[in-house]
Amino acid sequence: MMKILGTVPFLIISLLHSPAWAGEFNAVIDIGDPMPSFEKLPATDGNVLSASDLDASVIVLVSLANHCPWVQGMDADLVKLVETFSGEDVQVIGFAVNHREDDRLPAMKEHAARAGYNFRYVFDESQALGRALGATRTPEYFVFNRERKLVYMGLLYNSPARQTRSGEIRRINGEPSAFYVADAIAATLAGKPVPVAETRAHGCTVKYET
Amino acid sequence: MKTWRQRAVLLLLGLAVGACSQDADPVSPASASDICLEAVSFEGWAEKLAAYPPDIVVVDMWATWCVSCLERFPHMVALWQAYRDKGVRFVSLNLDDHEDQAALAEAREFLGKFGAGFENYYMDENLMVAFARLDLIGIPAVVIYDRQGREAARLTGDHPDRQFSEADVEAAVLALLQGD
Repeated sequence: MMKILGTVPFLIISLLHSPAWAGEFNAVIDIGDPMPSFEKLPATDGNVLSASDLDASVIVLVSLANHCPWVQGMDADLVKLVETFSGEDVQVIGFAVNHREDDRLPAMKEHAARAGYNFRYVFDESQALGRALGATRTPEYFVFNRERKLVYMGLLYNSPARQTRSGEIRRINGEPSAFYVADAIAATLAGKPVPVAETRAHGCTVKYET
Repeated sequence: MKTWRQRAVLLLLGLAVGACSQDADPVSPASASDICLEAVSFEGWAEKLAAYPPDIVVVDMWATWCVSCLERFPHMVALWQAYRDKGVRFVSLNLDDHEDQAALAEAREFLGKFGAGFENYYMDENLMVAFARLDLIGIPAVVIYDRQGREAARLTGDHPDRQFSEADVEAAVLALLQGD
């Protein structure tokens, strides 16, 4: 009996802290799931944005955090991604979830200007969008097709980059050789299956308020 | 496979971030300068974990690039001080870029600043492979092993609705102690 009782705390702890995964690396959402709705999120351009405002064939949502060295390290590549598809029927939306002062809207405006963000950047202060996406990393990408079904989530590419305190950009695996988001966008625009649908996002942890 | 040149750099790096003498007592450093940050491979890490039973082990996985990790680390030191004499071993596993000398030096300085007088390791492996091998989505993460060496709790931020706090870490440790 004592032995059985002794295993109880172990079981309780395990159950409390083992997320039932939806995707391979996401506890909430899986490939094929619908894009969560969102209403009137304030953007760095002074306007608000709702899911119903998005009408492109491909929607890319990316979780960001100004303070995060991995976001800073890949900002230029995100801007480049948007440039690459600027003539295509694609909309990229950045969203911030954290409540720390250096991640909130005033800091977002400064960061967007400094990093040359060429896409809408909104503040998900209620954290409802982030929760619905199961977004736990920054940056973490979510690509939706015209039917607003999730076709890709995870990394931008296969060599995440971090900005060091001295301003240097350090990549984990040298120059990237697999461009997951760009490939997902291109395949979706062409009506083809996405070659890699899910990767393990790498970056800072999103802090959800309890 | 590392070249001899890479190995030489890593050896120098080890000296720079604090080489760990076998004579040193990593658990009770005399001062911050005695803090040891030791390189460990996947195989070496598995061997370390296998050697810990019958102690309960609390592993704090962190990195200098992880602001949340830095903010919560002092609480881990406080927990270590509270439970170190109760058969609970605290260990930190750093997940900075193993080839980033500045980051590892910063890590050691941080550990010294906060008096992390327990065993401190950094994963001497490719960072993305390390996350995959450790089955991590992100950090901070705290993994707690019971007296049989089984993973008893894994506290992460992997689910938006199941964030963890220091109270959860302490509750998990207490639950294991009460199961003795």
